Amino acid sequence: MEIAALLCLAEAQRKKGGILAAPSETLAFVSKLYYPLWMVPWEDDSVIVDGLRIFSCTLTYMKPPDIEFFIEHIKRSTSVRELYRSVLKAHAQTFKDFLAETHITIEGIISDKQLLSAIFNYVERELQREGWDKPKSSALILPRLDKKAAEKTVEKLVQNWMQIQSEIKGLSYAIEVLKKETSFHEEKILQEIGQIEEIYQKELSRIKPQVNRRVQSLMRERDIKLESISKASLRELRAKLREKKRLENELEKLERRKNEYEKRREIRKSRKDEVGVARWNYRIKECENKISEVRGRLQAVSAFIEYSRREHEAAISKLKQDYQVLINRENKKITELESMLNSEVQAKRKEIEELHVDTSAIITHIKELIKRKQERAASLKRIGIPLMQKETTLVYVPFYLIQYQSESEIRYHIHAPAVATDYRGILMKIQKAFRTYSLEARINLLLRPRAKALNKMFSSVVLQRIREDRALSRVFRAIGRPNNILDAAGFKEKLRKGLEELRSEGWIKHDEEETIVKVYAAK
Amino acid sequence: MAVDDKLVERRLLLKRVFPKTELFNIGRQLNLPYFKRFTSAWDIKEEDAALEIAEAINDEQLKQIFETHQPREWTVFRGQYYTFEDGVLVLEGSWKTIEAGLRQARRKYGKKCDAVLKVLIEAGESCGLKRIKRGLKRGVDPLPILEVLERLKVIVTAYKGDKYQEWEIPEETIPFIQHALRLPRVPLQIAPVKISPTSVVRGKPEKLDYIEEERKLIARMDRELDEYLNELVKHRLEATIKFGKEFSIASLASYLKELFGKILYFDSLLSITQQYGLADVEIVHQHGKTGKKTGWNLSLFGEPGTGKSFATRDMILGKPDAKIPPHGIPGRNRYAGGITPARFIRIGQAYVNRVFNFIVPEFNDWFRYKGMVEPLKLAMERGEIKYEMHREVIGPYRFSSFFSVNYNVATLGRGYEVTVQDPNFDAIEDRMLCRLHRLTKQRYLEIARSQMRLVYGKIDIEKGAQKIRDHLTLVYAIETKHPLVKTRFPYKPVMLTPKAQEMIEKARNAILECIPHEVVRFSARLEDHAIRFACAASLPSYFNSNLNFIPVSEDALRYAIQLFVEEASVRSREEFDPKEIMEKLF
Repeated sequence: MEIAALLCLAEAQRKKGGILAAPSETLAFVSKLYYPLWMVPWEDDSVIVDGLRIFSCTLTYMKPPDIEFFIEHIKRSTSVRELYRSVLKAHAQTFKDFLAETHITIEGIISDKQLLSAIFNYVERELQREGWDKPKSSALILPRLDKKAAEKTVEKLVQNWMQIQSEIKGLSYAIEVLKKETSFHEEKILQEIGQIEEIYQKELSRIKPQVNRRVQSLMRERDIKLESISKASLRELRAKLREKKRLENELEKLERRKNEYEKRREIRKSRKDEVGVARWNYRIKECENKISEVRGRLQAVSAFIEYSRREHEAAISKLKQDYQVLINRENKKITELESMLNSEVQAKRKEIEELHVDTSAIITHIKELIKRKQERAASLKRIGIPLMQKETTLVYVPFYLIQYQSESEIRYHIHAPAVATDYRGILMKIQKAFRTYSLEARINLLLRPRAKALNKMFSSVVLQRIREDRALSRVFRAIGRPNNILDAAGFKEKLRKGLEELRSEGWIKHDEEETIVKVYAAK
Repeated sequence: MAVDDKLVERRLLLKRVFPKTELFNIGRQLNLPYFKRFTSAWDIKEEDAALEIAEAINDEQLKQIFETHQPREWTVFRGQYYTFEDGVLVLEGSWKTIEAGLRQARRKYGKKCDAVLKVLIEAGESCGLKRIKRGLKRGVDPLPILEVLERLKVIVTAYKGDKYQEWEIPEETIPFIQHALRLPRVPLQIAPVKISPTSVVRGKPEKLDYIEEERKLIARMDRELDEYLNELVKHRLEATIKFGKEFSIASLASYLKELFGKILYFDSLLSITQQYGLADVEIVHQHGKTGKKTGWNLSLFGEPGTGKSFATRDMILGKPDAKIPPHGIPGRNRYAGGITPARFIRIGQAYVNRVFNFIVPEFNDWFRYKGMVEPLKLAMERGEIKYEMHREVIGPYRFSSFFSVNYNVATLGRGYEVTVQDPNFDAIEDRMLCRLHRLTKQRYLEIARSQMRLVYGKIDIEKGAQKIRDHLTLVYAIETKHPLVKTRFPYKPVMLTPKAQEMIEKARNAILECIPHEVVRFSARLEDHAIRFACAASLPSYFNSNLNFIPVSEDALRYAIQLFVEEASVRSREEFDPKEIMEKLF
């Protein structure tokens, strides 16, 4: 039935000619031929190589930065930290991106995912099928690439993959070297910090006792001076205080005396002793004058005492301040050293931080490149189909080649292997419209290609190449002609039987059956 | 032997001067098999790659390599045979320049200069001022000394920070400085090439050729012995001969007793004596040859934690972590821990006509594989081994090395229970000098005490070990007619004296008398072991006399009889007390 259906399709696609149309064509041959594909083992997979080199794949190679140069630069700077830091700065952007992208075309390798999947399904199914019909050797299209050439083609792919792997290793090694060197320098900086701390601690422990001694001596000196100032001032103050006391006593005495005189004056007044009153008035006046004089002196003494007390305090405060400056100056020797130590240690710690920042920036870049390389390697690995085999094998994919011939040209049609559709389901769905379909549409519905990609490979890519490549066209024609199904023994019988089946299933009409029988299976 | 020093130096030079990728290119260009294993230059190990190249080339080729491959011009190499400075390779050493520089520095700084260099040598790495000062007397400022030494090319700056600097003695100069300072020279080690399985090309796994790998290992072990002997002959020969004149099995025993106590010492005595026996010296009697030789297999078995591995492995190969230096012959002990018996039988082919000692811990593991007793029995008998598997046939070949093994057994009240189920295992035991270990209180105490003494540094094995190792290596080299000493010292066979025969006979009779029944549970091989042991134990007395043979010493004989009696007792399930027999005999 497959042959009959195919012939129906070929007949439907044949140009029939007419007044305005192209000249009519005859069906020169319909042949079942076999397309050669090499399955070259690559680890657990197989790479499919087109035996006719019609297909090709283009690889994108991303050239990495010069890893060796980078590593050597790093190693050269190992012993000098300043140099290492400048190397890190110089290489901050080295691994930011790949240097260039080049495209490498490998002829023969099939890399189209869908096509690979279709080939894989086909090969796997055929391998599982028992009693796989061996094709006639005359129907096999001889590969243009022999086994060695196919293996060499895959070798190019493997080389590319291995180069990527090597570059990944190189990049990883660069990370390893970088990490190692940075941690080496970190360790050395920490040792340097230790050394700085030790130097400062040594200096501090040398200076601290000196400073303490000097501070103690300044404090002692200050205290002595304070004491001597206080003593002199106190001596003077005591004299003045004594004088003040004496004046206060005198004032009190004068006050008392004045009161006494006032009492006596009052007595004289009561006795109306005017002379006595005048005498006591005079005495009171005299007393008041004295009081005023003593008060004046007392005020002066008090003011002096106050003044000298203030003077004393000021002198002490000044002395204390002066000495504090000196003490501070001494203590500063320690605090200055301590702050110098802190700032130096901080600077070193910052240097470690900077080293880490610079290192991790480069590592991030390198890791990104590794990731991209790994993706490329994985995509190359996906070119293989998951079929493990020991050695390179040639497999054939069948297809139908139809040649139409008119006066002016030769035309080809290629049909990929097909599976017959479960016709009942389709017919049930589209029963009403089905009869209106053209013969080609109906047969196309019946003969669904096993895989779209496989169909596309034959009906588009291979066919296109036959049209363009005369030599290839000659090869196809030379193999197609002797394998013409139309000339095969028992063909007419098979065709009639097949057409009957197609008609009974409703794929073709009675008149169509008759026409085809008339043309191709007339007795 | 200078060639070996040169090889080591050439490897150092190549490793320092060429980057990984360049070493890979050189190796590939020289078509060396090692490099064929790798598809990427990044997979190789610089040490191994440099060694492989160094081994394959001569000076002329080295020069060509420097012409055709770009060296690191910024590196400096000042060795005994090669100099690389300012990007130029000279096939002449720099040691004379260094010697002159050292002389000048010593003239200026005297002992302080040596002290600084000693600190740097002992540190084994680059040192900063702080660390150097720590190793010097108080008040010695090393900075000017270091500056002068650097200027005179004796040392180099290894690291320079802002205010921090480290110095080091370049690796290639270390042997010279060690010699100049009269320090014991540690020969530069060449680690065997290890092939990481991951570095092999994926997809095309190359089958590892175990025999070839083993041959390489043997070559390295040979080189290790040669280098050690070379050093010994150059720098310590007189001292070793002097030591040998006083040395005997008795002094070895007292050295070990002092270290480990009265019970524990015996295991180490056995394993070191076995090392002497490895020379496989002929045993003769007054009228001619006996057909026997001094080599024997040693087996220490017993309960776990009784010090078996310590005696067979650590004492012989050394254990730096535990401060135990090696006592065994350098390059003559093949540690076989973790390998399968099938692999052992396979690699055994590389040892045909060679005498090595295979140290096998957990020997019983080998008997988990069926059918191993027969080939191992043959190996112990030094017979012809043939082993057939469904995929390959190994041999036939004659195995001529020895074993020193240990394994666990469950000791019973009397005798012991072997953990190996194979009934033929007795046959294996019969071919070894066996020693049962019971974890008695006394043994436990001695082990615990030794451990503590080691931890607290109360045992200093270093000096004694070096002397014994030197003596052992020298005697081994003489008795195996090593080219370095062949012309200087005569080969001496061991003479089995009539007294030795008489003593063994006496012991035999005494043992048989004590066994109350007709059946004897041990074979006559025990006597053979005792004789071999006595003869091996007499080898330490090589320098004791001017005779052209080594007579079996009385002490050696006593230890041999002790072993014979004790082993007979253990195998007879302790039906008699060995002490009683020993008292009767001595």
